[in-house]
Amino acid sequence: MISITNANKTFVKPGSRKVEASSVEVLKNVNLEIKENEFITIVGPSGCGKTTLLRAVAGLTKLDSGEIKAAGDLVTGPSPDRAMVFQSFALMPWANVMRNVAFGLEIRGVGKDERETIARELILAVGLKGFENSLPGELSGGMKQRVGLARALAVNPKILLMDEPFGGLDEQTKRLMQEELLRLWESQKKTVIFVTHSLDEAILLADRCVLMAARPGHITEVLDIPLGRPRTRDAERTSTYIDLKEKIWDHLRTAQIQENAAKGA
Amino acid sequence: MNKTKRYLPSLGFFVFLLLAWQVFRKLFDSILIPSTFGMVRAFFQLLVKGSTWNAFWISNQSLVLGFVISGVVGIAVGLLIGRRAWLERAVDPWLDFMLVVPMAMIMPALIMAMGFSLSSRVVIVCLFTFPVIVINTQAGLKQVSSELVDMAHVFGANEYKLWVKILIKGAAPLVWSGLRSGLGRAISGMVLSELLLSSVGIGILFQTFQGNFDPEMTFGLVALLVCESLLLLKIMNVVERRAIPWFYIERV
Amino acid sequence: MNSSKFRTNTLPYLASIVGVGIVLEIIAGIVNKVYFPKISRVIVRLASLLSDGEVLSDFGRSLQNLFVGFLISVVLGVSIGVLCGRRESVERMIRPYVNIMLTSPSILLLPIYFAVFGISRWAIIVLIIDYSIFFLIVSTTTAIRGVNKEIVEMSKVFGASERQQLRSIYLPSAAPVVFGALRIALGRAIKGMINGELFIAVIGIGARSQEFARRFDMEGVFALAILVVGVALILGFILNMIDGRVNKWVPSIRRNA
Repeated sequence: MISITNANKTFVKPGSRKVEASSVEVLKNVNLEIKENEFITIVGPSGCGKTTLLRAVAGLTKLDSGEIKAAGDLVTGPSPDRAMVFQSFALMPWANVMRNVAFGLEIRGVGKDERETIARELILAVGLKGFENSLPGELSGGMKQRVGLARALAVNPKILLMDEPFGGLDEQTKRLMQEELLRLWESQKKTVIFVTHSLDEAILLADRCVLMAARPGHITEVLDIPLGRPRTRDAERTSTYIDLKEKIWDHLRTAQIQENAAKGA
Repeated sequence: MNKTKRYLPSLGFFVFLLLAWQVFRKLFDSILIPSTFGMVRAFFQLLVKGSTWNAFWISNQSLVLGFVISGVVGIAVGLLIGRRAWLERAVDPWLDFMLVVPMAMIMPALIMAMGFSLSSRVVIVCLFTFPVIVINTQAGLKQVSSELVDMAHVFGANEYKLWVKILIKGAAPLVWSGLRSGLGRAISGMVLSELLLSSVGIGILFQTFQGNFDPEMTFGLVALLVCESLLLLKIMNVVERRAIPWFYIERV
Repeated sequence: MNSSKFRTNTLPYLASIVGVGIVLEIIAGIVNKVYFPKISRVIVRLASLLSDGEVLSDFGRSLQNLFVGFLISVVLGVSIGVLCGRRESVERMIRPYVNIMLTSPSILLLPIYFAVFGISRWAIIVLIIDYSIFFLIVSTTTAIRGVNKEIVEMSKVFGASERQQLRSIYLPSAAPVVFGALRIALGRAIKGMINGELFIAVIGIGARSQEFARRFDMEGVFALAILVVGVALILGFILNMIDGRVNKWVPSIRRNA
C-alpha cells in the first residue's frame, strides 16, 4: 500500500551574525514497505525523523531525494486520501463540532444534508453524540482529539496518518483513547501510520513497530508484534508484550542517551 | 537575497506611483495638482533657503521643549502613580479624557488664555504628548514581574534600592515605547498648531504657499516635515537601542 | 462587588471625576474668563445643541464623510492587508511606503490634500482614509501572518484550494484581530475627520467649532468636543457589538487582552 524508497531529507538552519549555518540529516536512506490495512507504529527519540517521515507520506514535507508511493500513486502533495490526525488537534475554533467533522466533505463539495448525515454517524462512533453544536473551546483534550479522528474518518481515506495524537492528553484519557482507536480500527480497517513517544502505544496498537534513531535519522529495526487481533488491553500482561517492551526500551534508551550526548557536545 | 534584489520590488512600485500620479494629473487637468518635477524642484529650493531653516528653528522650539517637559513630567507622574492602585484609578479618567478629546478643537481656548506665545505652543505639544507617556510608564511599571520584586525583598532591598535596581530597569522598555509614541504625537501637535494657528515659522510658510496657490511649495514643505519626523524617529530608535540593549538580543 | 475592590477600583475613579469637576467649577466661577467656562453651563449647552437642527445637520454631514472615508479604508485596507499577508512579494513591494505613512504623523499631508482637492469634502475624506488605512493594512497583514499554521496544513490535507483556504481558514482566524484593529482605526478616522474639518472649516462639526471659537463661544466649543467624544464612544460600541456577533467563538480572556 505504501512504499518508501531511499527517502532523504536534510534540514538546513541558516546562520546569523553570531551562529554558523548548520544542517541536520533528518532522514537518511529510509526504506519501508507497508501492507494494506496494516497498523504501523513508529517510535524513537526526538529528532529521529519520525514526524518528518510521517509528514513526507502526508505530502506536507518534500523529500530531498527518494520517493514515496501510496496506493500506487506517487506522493507529491497533501490529499484527503492520506488523512491526518494532529497532535494539537488543529480544530477550527470558530466552528462547532459538526462543522469541524464535516470540514473535509465541505471542501470536497458534498451537499449539506449528505455531509451532516455522514458527520453525525462519525460523531456517534467516536462517542460525542450530543456535542454536535459545541465549540472546540468548550471541549476537553480527549474530546477534541475525537473530533480530529472523526474528521479524518469522515473522508473515508485509504490511509490514516496520526502524529502523536494522544501526546497532549493525560494518562487516563490517553488509555481510553487507545482502546477507542483499537475498537474503531477493528470495525473499519485502514492502513495506519501512528507516530508516538510512548512504548505502550507503540506495542499495543501495532501490527509492526518501526524503531528509529537520530543523527542521521534512520530505521534501526522493524519489529513484528505477534499479539493477535482483535487486540485488548489484556495483551499488556503477556510475556511477549513484556519482552517487546524491554527490547524497545533498550533501543530507545541507547538512542536517547546518544542524542543527549550529541546535543550537549 | 542580495540587497538590490530586495529593494527592487519597492523601487518598481515607486515608478508605478509616479506614473499613476501623472495619470491622475491628466485626468483632473488642474493647475492645483503639482507635477512630479515641480514637487522635487520645490523640495530642493526650500532646502537651501535660509528662511526655511529659520521657520523650522522657530517652530521646532515648541516641539523640543514640549517633548522634553512632557517626557520628564510624564515619566515622573507615571512612576508615581504606577505603584498605588487607587492613585492610578483616580488619574485614569483624566488621561483617557486627554487621549480621546480632539485636542485640536480645544486649542482656541488655550490661545485665548495664553496668546500666540511660545508657551502656548509648548502647552499644546505637552497636551498631545503627556497622556501617552504617562500611560506607557504606568503600564511598564505594572508589568514588572512580582516575582522579581519578591526576590529583591528576599535579598534585603529597601524601597529605594528596589526602585533603582529593579523597577526602573524593568519598566524601561515600555517607557521607551511611550517616548517613541509620544514623539509622534508631539510632532502631530506641533504641526496642528502650525496649521491651525499659523502665527509663526512653518505655519506662516504654509499660509503663504496656500495664498499663492502654490501646491508645489506646499508639497516641498510637507516633504521636508516628513523627512524631519523620520529623522527624529530614527534618532529616537538609536538612542533607545543604546539605552536598553538587553531588550534587543537577537535570539539565536 | 466586594467592598475593597470598590474602594480601590471604582471609588477613586468616580471620586476623581466628581472631585476635580467640582474644583474646576469653582475655579471657573472665580476666574470668570471666556476661555474657562463653568462645566455646568457646558453641560446645559450640550443639551441645547442636541436639539439644534443646524448642529444636527452638521453632525449628519460629518458622519457622512466619516462613513464614506472609513468604508473605503476598511475595504481597501483589509483587502490589501490580506494580499500582503498571503503574498510576501506584494508586502515587500509596498512595505517602505506603508511604513513611512504610518510613522509620520498623518496630519502632515493635510495641506497637500487641501491644495489638491481644495475646499471640498474630498480633502476631508482622503484625510480620513490616510489616517486609518495604513494602520489597517499593517494590522491585517499581521493577523493573516499569525494564523495558526497547523490549521492551514490541516485544510491542505483535506484538499482545500487556495481560495477555500482563504475563506475557511485565514479569514475567520484573523477576524478577531482585524476587528480589534477596526476599533482603533475608527478612532483614528474620527481624529482625521475632526482635524480636517477644523482646518478646512467649511462643513461639519469642525467648522461649527471654529465658528463658535471665532465668536468667543467657548461653552459651545467644549460642548461640541464632548459631543464628538460621545459619538466616538457610540460608534465604538456599535463596532464592538458587531465584533461580538461575528466572532462569537473567541474566549473572553483573549477578547479583553
